[in-house]
Amino acid sequence: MSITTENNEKMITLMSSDGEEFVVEEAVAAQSQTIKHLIEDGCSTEGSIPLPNVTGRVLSEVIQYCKKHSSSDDKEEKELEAWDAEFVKAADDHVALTDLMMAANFLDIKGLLDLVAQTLANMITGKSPEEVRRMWNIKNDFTPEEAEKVRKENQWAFE
Amino acid sequence: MAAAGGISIPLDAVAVILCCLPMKSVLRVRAVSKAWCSLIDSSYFARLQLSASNVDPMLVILTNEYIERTDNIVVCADFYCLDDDYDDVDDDGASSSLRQVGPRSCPFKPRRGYTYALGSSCNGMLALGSYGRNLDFWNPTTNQCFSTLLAPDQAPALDQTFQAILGRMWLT
Repeated sequence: MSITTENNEKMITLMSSDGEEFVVEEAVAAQSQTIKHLIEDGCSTEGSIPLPNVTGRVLSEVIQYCKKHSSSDDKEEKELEAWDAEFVKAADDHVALTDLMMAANFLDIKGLLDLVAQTLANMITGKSPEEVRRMWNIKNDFTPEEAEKVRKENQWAFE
Repeated sequence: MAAAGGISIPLDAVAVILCCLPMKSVLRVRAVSKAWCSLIDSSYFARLQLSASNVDPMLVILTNEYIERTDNIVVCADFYCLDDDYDDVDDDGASSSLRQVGPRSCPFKPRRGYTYALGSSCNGMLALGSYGRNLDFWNPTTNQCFSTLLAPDQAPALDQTFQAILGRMWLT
């Protein structure tokens, strides 16, 4: 569905996996390469763009990010950095950040992907393998002998 | 795959996250699971990490010294890299932004009577100048090493020395 506002901004509608609709300026949505290509291919002319991999809660966060980044220019880099830091802090924990990262990956928004990946990387730094497993419910499929071997191969990394 | 209330993460997302980590942390999480271990050991991950580090290259300063032992000589090297925040160098000198990542002892034992000299480097891999028909490579970050034996028509005469120069070659 293409609507036009008073200041001639083209609007498009994004629909989340749980049926929530978001009407945003095309310039905001086009921060996502995936959506940009969908618009270019004419997929937005009939109704809204469905995003089956992204829930409404995550999509609203993504849109918040895209709005900020489409309205700021390079001169405001420092302010934008501070805003980004607050943005990931608000996402709160690794579960919310992982959701956000999956969405950024699917929607192909490089800036957001890098930002969230770096935040998750900071969270892993200094964590033991067991703590990392607990973060993402990963099963330890090494036998004790194999685990010892992997550890030995890079002993210095554990010191 | 995920336990109730938890969240799982696909491997391609793991790869992107690990590219933001220093090598020491990456090597530590090899022990998380077999899937993580083979991802980290894969050439796919090596290339991904290399392209990520090329965007923001780190300067590595290397000093080497030779420590003599009774009948052989081993290479010992100190490695430093420039910290990410090298823009904020203090007034009292640039050294405050240098982070030591070494020293490491080369895992190769030089053949009796021969010395090693550190040769050139490419993609984090060092070539060790050598004698004879062996060409040795060492990655001081991961401490991986391998040797390759030159074919008779590629190798210099046994009493000659040669130096290996590493570079990048694009194959199409």
